[in-house]
Amino acid sequence: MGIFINKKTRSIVQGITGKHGSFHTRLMRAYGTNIVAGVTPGKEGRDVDTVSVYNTVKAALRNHKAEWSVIFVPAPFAKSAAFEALEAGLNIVIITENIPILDSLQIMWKAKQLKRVVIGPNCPGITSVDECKLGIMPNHIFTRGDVGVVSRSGTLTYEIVHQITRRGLGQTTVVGIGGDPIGGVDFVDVLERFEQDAATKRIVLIGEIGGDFEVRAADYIKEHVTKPVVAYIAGQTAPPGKRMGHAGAIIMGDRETAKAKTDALAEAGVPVAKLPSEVAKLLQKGY
Amino acid sequence: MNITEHNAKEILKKEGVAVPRGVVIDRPEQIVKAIHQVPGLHAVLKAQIHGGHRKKSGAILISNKSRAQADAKRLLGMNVKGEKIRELLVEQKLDIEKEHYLAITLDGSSEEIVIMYSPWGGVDIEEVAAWDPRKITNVRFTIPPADGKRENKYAGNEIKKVNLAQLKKELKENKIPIEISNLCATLMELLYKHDALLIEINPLAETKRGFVAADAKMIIDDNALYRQPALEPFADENLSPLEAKARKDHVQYVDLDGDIAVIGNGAGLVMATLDMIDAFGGKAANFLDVGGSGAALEAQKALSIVLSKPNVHGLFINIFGGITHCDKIAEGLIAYRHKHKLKIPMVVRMIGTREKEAKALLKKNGVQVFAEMEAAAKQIVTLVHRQKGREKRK
Repeated sequence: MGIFINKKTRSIVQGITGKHGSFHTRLMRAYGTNIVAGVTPGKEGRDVDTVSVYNTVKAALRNHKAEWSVIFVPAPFAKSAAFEALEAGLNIVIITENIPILDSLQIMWKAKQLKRVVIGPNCPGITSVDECKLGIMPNHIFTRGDVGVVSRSGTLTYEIVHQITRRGLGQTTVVGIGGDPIGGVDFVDVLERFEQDAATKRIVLIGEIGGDFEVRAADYIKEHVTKPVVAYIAGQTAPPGKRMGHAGAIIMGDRETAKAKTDALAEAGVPVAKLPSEVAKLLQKGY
Repeated sequence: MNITEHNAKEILKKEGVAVPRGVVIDRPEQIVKAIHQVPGLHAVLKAQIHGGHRKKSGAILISNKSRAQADAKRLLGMNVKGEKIRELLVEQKLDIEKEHYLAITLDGSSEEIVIMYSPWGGVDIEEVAAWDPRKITNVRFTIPPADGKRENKYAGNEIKKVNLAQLKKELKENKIPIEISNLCATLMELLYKHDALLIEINPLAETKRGFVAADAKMIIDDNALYRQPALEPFADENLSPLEAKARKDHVQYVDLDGDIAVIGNGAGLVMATLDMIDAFGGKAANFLDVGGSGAALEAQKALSIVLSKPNVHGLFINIFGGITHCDKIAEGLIAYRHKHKLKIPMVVRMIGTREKEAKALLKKNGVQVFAEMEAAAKQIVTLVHRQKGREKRK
């Protein structure tokens, strides 16, 4: 059984009639995900890949049962879409990028109040291998195995997951927590779940410059994680003060450099790969 | 987006915060009129640049009015740590009794709004913080902001009231003086109103007439600029011409000092690509993330940005298709090559969404596609070294 989601998971898609929403609804369904309904205001009565579309989350849930929503809604409307899903009792995966930080803060606050899980924003989503995929990760990169993967990046996650697969290893659950400074579940939340998950025997952590998320993850690993962890930090050669795409990937202080993160992880007994291609090699060596 | 000091002060003034009297000039001869508009025998000349420690680097001068013209002439056009001084704020010299520090910001790791106050403000606040953190009071908020009357029905006036009441209570508990506490409330409202990530007043000058914002720094959330049209005229980053062009084209681009042009998708993958090029002995000329949409047109724009840089000796395209479709990038590349001749070595690595279509298209056009990033990165570094060797021999 995957962490957060499994083969019983039912989800709706908000922003299902948009370009990305409809494309990835098809791919999620092709992966075996149970997408029960879609939501786009004003488009009720249509369907996308045989999935019925409703104007509101409430209307969708009157006719279907679900636990999750995957949000593809454009940034200016993402907050109200998230509020709508959270208030209807759903956990959410927010794929949308460029959401204003004050909006994200409010989404996280709302989720905390309602005790719901948020993954993202600005993330590729979550895949419980061979069970359920919520988000936009490419279907073909996964193989069932014993490695749990948690990452702040999108495409870099695919890269490393692909290499783990190519070396004959596989994954349990892959979680992309997103690249924004304000996000839902963080490294620590996911590490905690992997530690408890019987199927996960070892863990890959993919971080990047900016923020102190990896340093806090290292502190947590030292105290609470008994399973082996292998890490990679992107941006080792990035000049400080330059914003490298993600809102999060900008070095403001010493704790935010690749070196500080690498040192903290090494001190917690985590080998840190120099190159993304070394992660799978380290796992193969028995980490 | 960084807001220049004089604009930040203008914003503060509108909210009733006292600021020194001042005038902005961009030509030395304007100083004559400017100094008449500020009271006193001296004027403070402040370079309107974004870098810190302006006093230490000579970008802030207290000038005798008789010398002001010469000083202004010297400052305008001067380079301070890579930033050219284009504007001076000519300000009245305040009679400061004590310098305080006040800032409001978002703490990403605790997901809180933090007000920082210290009665030991001024130039060395970082040292104060490092030497004795107790000299800075942090008041933290777990309750996030209301968003006024923005686009949706969740504009929570109710949240806002709770917020302000809680703020005042906490400030009182932290023994923050009442005048400062009022300022904090103003800064918090400003933070919401303008989607600010940071508002810093350092020093906050204590004068006989009350507190005056002697300096002001403001950073606005780039993701929220679409709903901050009033701040648009303030857009003034210190970007290189290529970075400015990239911003216009909505491409995430950063200038670096190597010679291998890089295009990839996703910030993490592009950063890892730069690290890999470096590990194999090459140097990247840029960071460029084509982003999620990755349409053929965006790919062409991206190519014209990275290839317009002089001294680029190679091109490396690294795409792992997820939301980005490989074939769209391939289409863009082929279209670009139809219009422009590519004289430098190129290595393309593509995998993921619509990879087959992309490979077929590129093969038809004589472009080999790598499947693995490591092999591809090694290849571009080798080709660039070879090319440079050949150029040297000529």
